[in-house]
Amino acid sequence: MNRQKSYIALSIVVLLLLPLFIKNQFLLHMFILIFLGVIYGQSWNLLGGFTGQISFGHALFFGIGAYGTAKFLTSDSLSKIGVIFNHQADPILAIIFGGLMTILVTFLMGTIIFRLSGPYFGLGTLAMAEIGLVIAMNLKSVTNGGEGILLLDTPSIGPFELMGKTSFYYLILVLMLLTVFFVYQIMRRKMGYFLLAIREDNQAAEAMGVPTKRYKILALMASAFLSALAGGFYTLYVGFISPHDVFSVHTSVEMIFITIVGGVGTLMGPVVGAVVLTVLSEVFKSYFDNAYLIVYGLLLILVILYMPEGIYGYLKKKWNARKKVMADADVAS
Amino acid sequence: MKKFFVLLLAMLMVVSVAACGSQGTSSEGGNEGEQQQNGQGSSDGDTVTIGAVLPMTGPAATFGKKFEQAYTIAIEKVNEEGGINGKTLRIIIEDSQEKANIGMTAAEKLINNDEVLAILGARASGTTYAVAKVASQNNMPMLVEHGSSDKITQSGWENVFRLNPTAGMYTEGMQAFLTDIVKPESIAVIRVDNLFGESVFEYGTKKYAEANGIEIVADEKFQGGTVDFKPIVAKVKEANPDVVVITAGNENDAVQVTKAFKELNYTPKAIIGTGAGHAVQGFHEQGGDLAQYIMTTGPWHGDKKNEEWQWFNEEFNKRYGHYIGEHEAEGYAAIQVMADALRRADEAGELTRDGVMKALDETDMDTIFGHVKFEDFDGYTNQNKSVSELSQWIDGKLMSVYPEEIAETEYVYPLTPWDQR
Amino acid sequence: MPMLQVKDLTKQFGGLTAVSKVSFSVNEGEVLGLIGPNGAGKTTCFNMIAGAMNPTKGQIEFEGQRIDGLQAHQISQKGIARTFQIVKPLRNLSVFDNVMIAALSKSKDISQAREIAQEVIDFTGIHDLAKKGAGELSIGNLKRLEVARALATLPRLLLLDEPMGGLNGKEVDQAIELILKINKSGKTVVIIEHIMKALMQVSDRIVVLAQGEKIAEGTPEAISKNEAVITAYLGEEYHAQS
Repeated sequence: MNRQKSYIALSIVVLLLLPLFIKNQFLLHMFILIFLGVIYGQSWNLLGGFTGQISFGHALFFGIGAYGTAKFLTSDSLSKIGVIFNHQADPILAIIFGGLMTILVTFLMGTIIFRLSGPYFGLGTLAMAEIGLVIAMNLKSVTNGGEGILLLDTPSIGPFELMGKTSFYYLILVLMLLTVFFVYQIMRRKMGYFLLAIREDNQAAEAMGVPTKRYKILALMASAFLSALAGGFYTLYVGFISPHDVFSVHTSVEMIFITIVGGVGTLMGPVVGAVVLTVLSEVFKSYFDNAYLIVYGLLLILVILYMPEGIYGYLKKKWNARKKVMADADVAS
Repeated sequence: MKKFFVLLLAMLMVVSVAACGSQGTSSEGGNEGEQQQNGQGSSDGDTVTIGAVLPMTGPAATFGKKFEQAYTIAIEKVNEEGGINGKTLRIIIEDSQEKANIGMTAAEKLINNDEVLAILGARASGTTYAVAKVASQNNMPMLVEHGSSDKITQSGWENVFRLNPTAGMYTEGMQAFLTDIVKPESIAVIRVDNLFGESVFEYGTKKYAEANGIEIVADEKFQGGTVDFKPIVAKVKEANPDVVVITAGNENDAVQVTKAFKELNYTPKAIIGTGAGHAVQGFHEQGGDLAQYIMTTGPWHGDKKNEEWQWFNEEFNKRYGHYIGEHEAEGYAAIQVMADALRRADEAGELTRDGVMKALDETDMDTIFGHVKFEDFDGYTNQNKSVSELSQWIDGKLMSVYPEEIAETEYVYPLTPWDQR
Repeated sequence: MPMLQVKDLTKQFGGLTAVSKVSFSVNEGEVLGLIGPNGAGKTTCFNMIAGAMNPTKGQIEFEGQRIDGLQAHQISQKGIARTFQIVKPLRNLSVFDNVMIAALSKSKDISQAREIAQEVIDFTGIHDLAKKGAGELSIGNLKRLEVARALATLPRLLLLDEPMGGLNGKEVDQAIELILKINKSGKTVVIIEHIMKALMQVSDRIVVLAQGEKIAEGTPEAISKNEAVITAYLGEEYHAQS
């Protein structure tokens, strides 16, 4: 147990020191994308992987988080809230505001959407995300419609101006670590076990005394909140959002791929998935010209066909098998 | 748990290798990858590299391709004529998929790994924003040749220069025509629901209509890719405006919406597109006779009396099988402007990003896209006051018709009813 | 007062009446057998009592309180647990976790749930399997896991839906032993079972359903001699077995 903790601590230290050694901004940018991808994956995995509710509409939560954040920073009345901290915590408050907006929405949609299950649930979430897109396009007074929202001012957190890559690196690193820790904490508690029970068999879980609907809504809220964090960071980092950028089905699909390629229903799966997919899409870009998306798609199909448990799941299986062989050998000698 | 750590370290290494790897392939030269080379393998000292972020995949890939083709011809010509004071000019194109965040990644890569001297791009306004932001953070000169949202040059970015007119300016050709010839009392608008459609409307049509007391009797938005426009056109017909102004993101939308006019046998005095889908050859290729006498307002397709324009038009048609439109003219002119700025920076002994930025700021030259000079006015910075024109599809060709100084032929007005064709 | 009282219980699926005005009661501490030919409505009765389905008509009282219309997890909280005829293990989890999760809904924390799970696992005699994945178990052990999981919710009334279906002779004997042991530990049991010999052995009383209606009720001896039951149902099977 202590060894485990020290390895994790060491990993975190390595990640914290990384910007001191990396001077290439593009490389830092890649790390930022990977960490963002980890949050994508963890968010989707909490509901899809651990709770078994396969959503095709997580872009909805991502989008609300992104718009909530942008709104907080650009609207005169909302940004007054920032005065409490002398405007030194605006980006953080903005992201949290986006997260709360998302929770509000999931609370409203939760009771309806969980009347559906299986593929119908998936289609229901897809439809909700489309509704989100249409609202974002048409509710011009709030979202500025198809024109999108541009963040012109550079917000700062305390003395850290969110300008260079390094400050964004640390912001997303912290968000990612909090996300992984949050999911880890959920999964080792009562709630985590209940979510697993729901995934395995909803009826059995009910019979075992699990209030399945309540826990599904809780899982949806937690999952949506994480997506909203990712969306909020996206707004700060890219500086421009439009409905088709953030409510796009591509975002939902990316979350699913990161999780499936890494390993559904495992804490490390989304981490592995985010690294592999982010790196590969860049590598393929260099080698396959404009056909890189096709190669990328083929690879996804191969992974899903031959490693249905994902890369991390596959490796874990191999490791466990080896451990078993070694343990057997010990017994024999 | 050790495995976890080993895995993490392995991943860190993979990321680093991948990132540096892509650096290697980009600077090495050759024909593979996303790089557009001018040919002659040359050492770094003899090469001047610029970058471009464009949609090379996805629904907007046709537009990316147009720029790629225009760059290719333009760069070949620059290098044939001595390059950048003897150095070979080359360009690296990175794909944006027409998404802001992917465009951002592309820009980071060009700036940090490929160490380009300047960036061109990035087609759509949203992507252009994101790229321009990265460029300004890195103090990187950027020349926008197509992204038209007014805000791009209203953000006070000193490193961002724009060759093309803003969306609001797109409508200037139409405005002149409406004021001088049509004198309409009412206008209806049908527009694609994105940043471009919004900008054309807000900064162009609406602003003009309000200033001139023209009533906007209908304002219909649609999603790109809509197939049946009859409900929308029926509403417009009901409102009975003098003129209908249409913003279509691509040729499909432009064709489909025109088809609905014909099917409902509705002929306003004029149907005027705002560039984009109405200004590409595909509109006539797909729409056939539907395109006849449809007008479009937008960036000038260039100075057709200019010898270089004529040469480029013929050369382009020879290689790629069609004549040039706004995109090709913009792409070619962008290289003309860049080459000029690079030469001046080189002569000043400052072939650096700062040097190029300074040179761009001092640009004052004729291109096939007209005279180019980046000026600060009315809240815009480094914005070229480029000409906007009204053109009209006549027998399969898009002809400049207004203002008269640049007209190639007489306009056909009012629009001939569908049943009398 | 009986522990469980079912009055005029009716369930219709569209035009089909699966259960029609069935009434019976279960006394504290007894084992009640529920039998009937396929399609008699036995499992539907269980589903309504356990909250998996709402009755179309009729009412269900448990320990003096109306429970019809409550959701399954609420019924579990009231102290009724059920097993499934078609086993529903949490396949990707270990046997221990299966039982532990069932205990969680009545525990204040994980460690308490672990204690309960350990007790139940010992009680049901599956501790050798505790670390195995539930998906790897044989049907006999899966049925045992169903019972263990139900027990882990600390019920006072246990609804067993064909706990011996698919078991071999030796396993049936073990199951009988377990049911009697559960009953002896103070839990009331209602059991649906097709293996008559076993059912006769464990039941204090038997209720017979046929085509959604109750046709008889009584002690095992009385039921085995009941003409209506024999003709409606027992006939073929009982004779076939002997």
